[in-house]
Amino acid sequence: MDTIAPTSEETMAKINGGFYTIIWGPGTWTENRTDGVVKSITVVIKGWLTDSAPMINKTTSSDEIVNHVDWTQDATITSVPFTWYVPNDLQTTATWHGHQHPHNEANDDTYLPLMKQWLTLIKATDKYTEEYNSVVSQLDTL
Amino acid sequence: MGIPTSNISLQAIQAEVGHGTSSNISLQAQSQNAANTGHTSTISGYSSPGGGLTGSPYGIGEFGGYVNVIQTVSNVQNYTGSNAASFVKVLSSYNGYGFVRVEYQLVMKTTQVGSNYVATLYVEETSNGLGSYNSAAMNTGTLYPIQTVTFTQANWPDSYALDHSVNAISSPGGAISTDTTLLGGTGETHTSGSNWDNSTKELLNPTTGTAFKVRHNTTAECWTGTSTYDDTISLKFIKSGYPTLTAATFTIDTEQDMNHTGLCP
Repeated sequence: MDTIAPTSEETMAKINGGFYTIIWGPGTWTENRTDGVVKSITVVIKGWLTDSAPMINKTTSSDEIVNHVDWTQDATITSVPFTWYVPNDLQTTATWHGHQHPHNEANDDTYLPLMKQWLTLIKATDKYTEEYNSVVSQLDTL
Repeated sequence: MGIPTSNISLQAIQAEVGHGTSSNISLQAQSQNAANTGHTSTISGYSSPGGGLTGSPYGIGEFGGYVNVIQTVSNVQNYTGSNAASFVKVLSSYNGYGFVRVEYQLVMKTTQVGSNYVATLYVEETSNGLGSYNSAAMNTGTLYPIQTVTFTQANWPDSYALDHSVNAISSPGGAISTDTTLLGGTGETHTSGSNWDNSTKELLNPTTGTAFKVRHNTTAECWTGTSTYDDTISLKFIKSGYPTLTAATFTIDTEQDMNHTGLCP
């Protein structure tokens, strides 16, 4: 077993105080559809101080407890919405399950892989970076 | 050590700031080269002429109570890019309840190079999660340098701390729990012990190593998405009589990807 490193009685002021929980994606964004097809997405990023985020417990079918943020609640900081246009080859009529049961597996098999691609592409945009940084900097002031 | 709050001489300023030689001293040159830029005069009732310690006009009273920062021989960032390292783990298929864990280590090693002492902070991949460093894949158990700080033996700090914070990002929301734990690392002469955020450790003389571990757990039910942990960590040194030296602040990001398949029970 490794020896515990000796500690010092000297103290240093803490400088990194950012403990934030941030959620975005279907559930916080709005999918703009034409004839049922997703053409664009209005993205909103929601942020909380981790210590004060609204938590709820979910008991799973295997009796595990998942203590998670209730993302449907108002956030401490909400980003300015911005629109991202879905490339033609990534458009779909499938919809997010919204955690409503039972899931439609065929719908999920179409929607979820596309959603993962949307998330990656949106995260790579300058607008996402700008709005994410804005949420974090506003949380920094609290 | 330090500059008094009365009878301040240019020689005393030069001795503390350490700029140039002890002759032909100008207040402007000492002010512009003062390393402890955050200092404000501790002379009671003193009012700065403006511009701060390092800016014009240069007031000698601005040095009242001044203590220089810890002197380094060099302070070098060893990684390139925006993150010191990145880690990823994918749960490609699960049904019902899913769990993903990424762990990595930070290792502080002290060595001697010539007559100088060197403190180097490394990042290390563990068996939980695949890492990348300078855009190349990491090998588990290999140490990759983040920051190398060299001191003369006379200026060797007493202690150091790693100051940590984390942003957890879930996309999308759902029955997903993100959890970060700071644990004692393994494999070195010393372990940090748990809950090491900002815990001040003695900076041991060469040659020693101390391992710190960061653990990110994501648990979820019927969730397909990505959870990202952005760790911000600062390496700080302290020496008795000196203000804290923040040698580096860096980020390490961890991405955990989960894909639910089949009927959601």
